[in-house]
Amino acid sequence: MAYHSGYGAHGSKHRARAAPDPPPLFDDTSGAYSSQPGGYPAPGADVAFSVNHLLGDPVASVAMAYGSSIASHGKDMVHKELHRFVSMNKLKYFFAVDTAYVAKKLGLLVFPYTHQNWEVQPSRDVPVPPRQDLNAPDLYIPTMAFITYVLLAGMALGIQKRFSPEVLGLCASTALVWVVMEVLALLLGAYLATVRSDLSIFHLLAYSGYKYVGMILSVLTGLLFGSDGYYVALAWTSSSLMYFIVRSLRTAALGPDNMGGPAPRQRLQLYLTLGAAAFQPLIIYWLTFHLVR
Amino acid sequence: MISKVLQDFLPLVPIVLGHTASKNEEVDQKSGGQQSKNLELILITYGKKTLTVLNPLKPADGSIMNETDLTGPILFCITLGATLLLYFFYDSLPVGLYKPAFHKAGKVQFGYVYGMSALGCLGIHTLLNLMSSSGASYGCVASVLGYCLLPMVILSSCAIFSSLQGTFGTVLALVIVGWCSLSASKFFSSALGMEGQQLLIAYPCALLYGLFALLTVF
Repeated sequence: MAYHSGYGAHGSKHRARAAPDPPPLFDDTSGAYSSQPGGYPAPGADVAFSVNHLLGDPVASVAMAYGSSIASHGKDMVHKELHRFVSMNKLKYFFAVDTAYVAKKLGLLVFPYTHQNWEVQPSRDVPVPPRQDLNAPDLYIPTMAFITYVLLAGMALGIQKRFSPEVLGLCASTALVWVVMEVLALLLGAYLATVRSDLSIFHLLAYSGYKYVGMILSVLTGLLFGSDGYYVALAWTSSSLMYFIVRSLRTAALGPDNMGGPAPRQRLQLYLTLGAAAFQPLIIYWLTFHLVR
Repeated sequence: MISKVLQDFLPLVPIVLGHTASKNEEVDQKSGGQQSKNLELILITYGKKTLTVLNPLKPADGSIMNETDLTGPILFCITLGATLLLYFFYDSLPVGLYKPAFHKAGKVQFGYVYGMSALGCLGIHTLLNLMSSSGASYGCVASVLGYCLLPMVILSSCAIFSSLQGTFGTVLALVIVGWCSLSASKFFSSALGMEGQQLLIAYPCALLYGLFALLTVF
């Protein structure tokens, strides 16, 4: 029912602009909507218009209008709560990528041995977006890689005739839980070793999400070339990912002022980075071996 | 038992929605001469947008998304309903009657299709808001995605006439999915002013359309 009224409301916007004859139950905000095509629609006002035509029963129409106003109020509340935890501007920084950056970064993830300069460009106030700096982390690749991994897992299970939607959900939630645990462990380690606090939670999420690219490659080679191909790809992607993480996190964690700072702390940071890197192949193996049997 | 009957009527929902939504427009168009011009404008814009979908290599101008209020998932509902209805009625024919034996008489779970398309729309909407400087509204995203579902109709009609299980079927499905996602990303990148990101938008659209093809056709 709510589905129905929602779609009917969208269709009535044409009428709302052309002939404002019916007495509005709510304020006519559809004019504001049409002048900003990028803004959010106002469902309350539109349902009022459509309800007049679709239902003759006034009680039901009032109930539906009330329900939709509750829905829009709920949506606003969700947005407010979400904005308290996740700052959209900070998140937008991680998605400011373009195709050239993504292609180069993917190449770097697979073959990082020839890359010379791992320093992130220094910035005065605003961090340099990933478009202009190859070494900056982004969240587009990890997100897409995660989704591709889940779909690939479903496909691999389907090929082995072991597919069902519940198993797909199980795969997705298992991978998500591992990501969350790894990010929490890295945060704890960074806190204990008092690493420079430039590494926000999104940075750590990005770095722990890069291993999904390696996972996808391993699963694909495993599906195409059998079990041997899977182990070869696993070894290759694990080693390149470990190298990538160690080089990137060393420069990101130590920062430009790595000369200062006591030696045991620097060693602790090094151990932390090496530990994080060594953890990656284990996770990759754990999450993919049951797909390539 | 009632749920089973409801399940049988589930594919009719988009047709009903699309019809109701467009009926609201018709009722308005009849009341006044100035609205007939509106109707012509709408038809011309829909024709232009269909041509843009059907010709994925031609660059689109950014203004076609702004000419009408992109609020209506009207066309999306009609297209989706037509496709699913086609496949649903064909699926319910007994084997042997206009249906060759190789046609997979599988159960298509329409609940999954709706849930997945809603989730996919929401995901693409979030991604577009994060990646572009000016955000996109949900109705706009749903409308563009529904528009670019048009080539999928070709795929499902091919599925009726010949089995798609072999190599030819896979290649055709890949080509159609690529076509859909390229035109969708062309719409988005030209309308939201994102330069150099067309392939990045095309990839999640390709995932969505690929999943859609997998669920409905295969």
